[in-house]
Amino acid sequence: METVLRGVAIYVVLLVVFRIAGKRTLSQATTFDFVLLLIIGEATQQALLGEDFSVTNAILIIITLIGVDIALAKLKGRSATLEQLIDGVPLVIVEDGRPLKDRMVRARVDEDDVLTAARETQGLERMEQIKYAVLERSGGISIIPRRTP
Amino acid sequence: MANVHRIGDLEIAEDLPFQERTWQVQRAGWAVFALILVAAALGLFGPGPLSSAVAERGALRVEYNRFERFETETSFDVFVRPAASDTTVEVWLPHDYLQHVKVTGVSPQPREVHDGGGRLTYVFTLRQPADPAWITFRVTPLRPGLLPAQVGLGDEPALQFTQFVYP
Repeated sequence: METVLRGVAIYVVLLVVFRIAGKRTLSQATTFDFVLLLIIGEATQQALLGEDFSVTNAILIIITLIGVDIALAKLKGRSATLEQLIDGVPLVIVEDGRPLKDRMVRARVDEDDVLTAARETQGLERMEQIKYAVLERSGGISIIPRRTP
Repeated sequence: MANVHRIGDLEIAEDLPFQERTWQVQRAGWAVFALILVAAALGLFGPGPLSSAVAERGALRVEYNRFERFETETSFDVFVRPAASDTTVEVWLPHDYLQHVKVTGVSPQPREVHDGGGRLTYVFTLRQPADPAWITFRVTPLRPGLLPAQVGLGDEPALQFTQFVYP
């Protein structure tokens, strides 16, 4: 019983904390972001296992976490509000080559982030070549290039 | 499912009012994070300045932490001022208390430990009669929640104090 409680508690806590931290915190833009994720994993490991290092405990934890994830996915499928609450919404940050400055400030994204995404995903060179840039739920930035006629 | 609508040439599930509310909640959340960290530094989630406490009566004094954490080894200190004629000090832990913690160590080493009368009694030798004694018990809480602690000296009733064990 304790095993299941640990699993559920950690899942919920991580969900809430990451949601409060915001999209850009864990979007893995740099190597350090990746390392930060690893360290967070290490920190939760002990709490999940407690003093029980058996294979049985590990299997129960894994099944609990996956089970909660599946249950949550099903609930999100039924309720658009819940899905919005948990996953967030996308946000347009560049429209017709014009960065929407106040949105970007509040979302903690700067123009360089947008240009980096443009180079990485579309091979674009300048802001004016971007038709739309969207800050997705994941914290990543997707780019729609302007189609030159 | 998500309410996809048309913005310019994009079909997207953007929702600016919801996004605004999310940002507000996030900022409030960050303030809560800061409060939690301050509280932790002050010792509200475990050993620390605000957590240190003392319980004493007569010749027995116990220094302990109000807040402990589950399955995490901690300790409390017992100070005894023996009577002039005492050559040993007997400190005992009742079984009721021992159900809540696991004793992992005692320093100094007692001369003997015996169990009886619903309690575990540790007998320590004094180098000289009436020497004040300082004994450290290392314990690990076995359950989260309120921990009613009891430590006794000799024939007197147990000194009681309450700790809280975070899960």
